[in-house]
This record gives sequence, C-alpha cells and structure tokens, in this order.
Amino acid sequence: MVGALPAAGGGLAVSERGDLGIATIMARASSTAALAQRVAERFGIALIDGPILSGAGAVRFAGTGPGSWLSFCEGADPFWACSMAVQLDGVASVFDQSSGYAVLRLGGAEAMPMLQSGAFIDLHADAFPVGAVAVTVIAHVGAILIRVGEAQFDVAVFRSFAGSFWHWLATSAAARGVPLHRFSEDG
Amino acid sequence: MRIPCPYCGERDAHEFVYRGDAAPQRPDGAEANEAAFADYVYPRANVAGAMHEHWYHAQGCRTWIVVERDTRSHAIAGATLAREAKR
Repeated sequence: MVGALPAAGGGLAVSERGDLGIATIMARASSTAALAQRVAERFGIALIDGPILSGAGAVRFAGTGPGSWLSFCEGADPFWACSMAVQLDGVASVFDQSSGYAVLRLGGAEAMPMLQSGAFIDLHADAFPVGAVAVTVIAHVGAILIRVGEAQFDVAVFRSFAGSFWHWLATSAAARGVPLHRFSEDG
Repeated sequence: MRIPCPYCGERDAHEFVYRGDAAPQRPDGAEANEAAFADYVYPRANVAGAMHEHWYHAQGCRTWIVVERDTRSHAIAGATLAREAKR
C-alpha cells in the first residue's frame, strides 16, 4: 500500500503507483466552464483550470495545461477511462493513459532535494505547495510532478521512459549519497 | 533565459520551441494571391528591440504563447496565451 510507505529516515522511498487508472481530459473548444460544471455534478470536485490538483478522493484531476488535465483514479477497473468518457461526453475528450504513464511516489526527507536537483523549477513549499502540479523535464525526460504531501511527490513519466527516469533517480541518489528504499505495492 | 509561461509560471527556455515573429497574419486562403502568401511565409523584420514572438511550451503545458522580448537584452516584458493574445 502506498499510504503505508514507511518513513525513509534520511533517505528516499520510492514506490510505483500501479493501481491507478490514468486518463487525459481535454475540454472541448469553449467548454471549460461546462466541463467544470459536469465534474462538479458527477464527482463533487471543484475543477480548477490551473497547475493544481483538484479533488481529494479516489478520483483527482491534475492541471497540465489550459483546459487539460491528467486524471487519476485509485483502484480503477480496466474500463474506468471509458466510463469517464461517458461521464464527460460532449464537454471533454478523454484518452486512456493507464498504460501510457508510469507513476512513482517519492517520499522521505530527500524526496524534495532529489527532485530539485533534476527539475529547473522552485520546489520550495512556498513556491510549490501541497497540491501543486508541474509539467516539466527531468534529465530530458518529460515529467509531471505533483506534490501530494509536505515530503511526498508523485512523478508521472511516459512508461517507455520509466527506465531512463529510474536510471537518473538511482544515479543521482548514489551521487548524493542518499539511501534509496524501494517498495513494492504490496509492501 | 527564463520565460514566464502564463500557465506554468517561470520556466527555463530549453522547455520551449521558438517559432519567431508573432506579427504576420495568415492571409485568407481563398482570397490571397501567391505574393501575399510569400510575404506571409518568408520576409521577416530583423528587429533590434522589443518584439512579440511565438514560443511553444513543448515540455510544459503544450500551448503556444506570445512573448514580448527585447532582442538586444533578452529582457522579457510579458507573455500571454496565443489563443488569448490580441489579434
């Protein structure tokens, strides 16, 4: 369980969030307000058109661009993206990315300094608070960063780049002398 | 160089793709002659000073933005989403 990730001491705890359904949500032309209304009706979520995480339950929307979001669903069934497309029919285009992105959860005191060494954005809590989202690059790999806790980040990379990202993570951790603890979903 | 993306905030220039002058307007395809299209596609003013430019935030929010940049100093006065920029 990701929620039960042990405290990593001074190190870096990494686990893959393998139970996620992932889909891109793109508002149709001039339909951002209508989409926000639909999301409020169906999910009870105030959808924000900005680089922020909307929602606090199983389904969440991470702002990735004007009128576009990457939505996540914990414990999604294989048809979740299809059901999202039905729910948002007429106001948004929905594309299943469940196998397109790999999502790592980084935790521990070294999570922020580690990511800061790779991302050219300010990850200080004042500039990148809990719930902040950034689409950027780390080691030339496109990465979507979400601060899910004071010292916890979700990092989504295209699945085919996951190995390259892991190489950066492991190499950088070693170079910084940071112990890296790897956890599987089932503990 | 840091570019102030209206959606993402300040980002390193390497996240962007440069397109160039934002001023030329595409002629009406049904109305315009070859000369008007040649004028739209090829000649560019070599501005020394402030100009509006199209940049694509390829490694970020994946949208086109219009940046006002001084070509002599690289000082950036502001940026707007291209879709919202005044035509």
